[in-house]
Amino acid sequence: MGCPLLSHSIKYATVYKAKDTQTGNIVAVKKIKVGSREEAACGIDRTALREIKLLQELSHQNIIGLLDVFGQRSNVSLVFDFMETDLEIIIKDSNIVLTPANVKSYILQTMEGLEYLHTHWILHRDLKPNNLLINKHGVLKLGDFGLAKFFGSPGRVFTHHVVTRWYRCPELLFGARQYGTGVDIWAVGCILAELLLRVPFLPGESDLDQLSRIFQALGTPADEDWPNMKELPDFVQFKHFPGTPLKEIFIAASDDLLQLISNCLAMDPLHRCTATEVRLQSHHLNQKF
Amino acid sequence: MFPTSTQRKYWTFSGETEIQQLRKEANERFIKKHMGKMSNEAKQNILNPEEENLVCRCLETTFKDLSSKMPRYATALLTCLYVACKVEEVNIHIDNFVRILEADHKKLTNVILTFELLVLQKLHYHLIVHNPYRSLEGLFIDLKTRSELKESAERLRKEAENYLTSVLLKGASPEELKKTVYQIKRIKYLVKSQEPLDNELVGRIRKKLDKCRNRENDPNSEEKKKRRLRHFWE
Repeated sequence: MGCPLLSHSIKYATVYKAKDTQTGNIVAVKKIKVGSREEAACGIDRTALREIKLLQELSHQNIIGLLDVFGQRSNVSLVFDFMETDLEIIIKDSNIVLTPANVKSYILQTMEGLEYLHTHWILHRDLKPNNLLINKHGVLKLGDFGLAKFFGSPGRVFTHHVVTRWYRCPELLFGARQYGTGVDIWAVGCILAELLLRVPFLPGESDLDQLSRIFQALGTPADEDWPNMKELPDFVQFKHFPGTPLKEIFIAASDDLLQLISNCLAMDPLHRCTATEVRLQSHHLNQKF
Repeated sequence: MFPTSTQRKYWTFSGETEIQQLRKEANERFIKKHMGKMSNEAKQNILNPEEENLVCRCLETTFKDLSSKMPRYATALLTCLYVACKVEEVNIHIDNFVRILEADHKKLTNVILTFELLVLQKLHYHLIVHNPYRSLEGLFIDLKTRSELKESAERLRKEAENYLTSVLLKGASPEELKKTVYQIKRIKYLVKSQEPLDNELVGRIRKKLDKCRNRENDPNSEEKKKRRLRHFWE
């Protein structure tokens, strides 16, 4: 086992690059940290169990493969496909030129994986460039299922404390407890924007600032744009922002790409595209900006 | 999702014969592996597949009434229940979990946390069991999220669940239906053909089980206590 890969170091786990001595394959081993004594007192980590439970059932080219699980006492480690890099690193690396074809490929692969998840009744709930892992062959896989959840889980109210803030949709920011696949689609819209801008599109500093940035960029929704908005638990009235035409924010983007971004970033979750629609639209994207 | 599930692939069997065969093989494997290390007394008391099965059936009855006093070997069962709660995201703190049981709470906590990983390993970390009611629940949430049906959706629940139950039995094509009925008959037959538990026999097997237990796994042994303690401070 080598040293921890810093870029993949997550809150509750450390990821090691390791070699399978039987096959010679390089794999990633995610060792779950034992948290506070209070957490440790409850045995095996719940987040790890959630990830194991879901990934055991999933098999798709664009979903990270869980190869094995092993444990020692209450510590479990998960063995994954080894992925060289992730989309955050690529976006931040100014030496890498992202062609329209690259953008199309990344978004298409993301959508193939996400459509598979959604048709299996699973919400990822933490899509962001850092969780879109990429191997040396350019294959992109959705990773980190620590927040993923069946949206068929009975009787319980969902928490709205999901998705990293910059990729969090307005209904979650307004405290929605019942939500659907739209939370992942919004995040895809933000990722797509980030691929073009090469910096996070809506880097809010607080939940309120996040909403404010969303409305400044896309316009404060009127009642007819999003009829149920005012019924959300944490709704606050924002002042009216007219919004900026996407064409002015993404000056080099083609019309169909702008349309796709705007479909993903519809304020009302009911008006947001489905994963299948986004996949089909990205499939037809013109490869010239 | 069921056709590609681990439940379908690894935990669905062709019938009773296959399960019996697997149980027999597992029993033989265990004996072969541990025979060498066993005391003579333990060797003489080792359970055969039928006796093992009886123990399992005892556990099933125990499962139905958790408030009753647990036999010592039921700790594995409690560990399963604790793991199941965790997997299904019914978040119960271990202290609250053991509190409902009539037992030495501290000891039980230790036992459950010690066996937790073992249970997961034995399940090969396959943690999802499918049923159509879960999908229905998803549909309800979807209806509530996507439409204005918020309250009325909930009123559909009872009928929808009844419908599911009936469609499971009637909604299939004649051939499928025949198959379903046949399977249900087989299950019914299996259940009916089970003889009632012979208390005397159960008592005898329990004694045997006590004698051939692996002391290393005994949560009451000094060795185990030390290991747990070490683990706690690590």
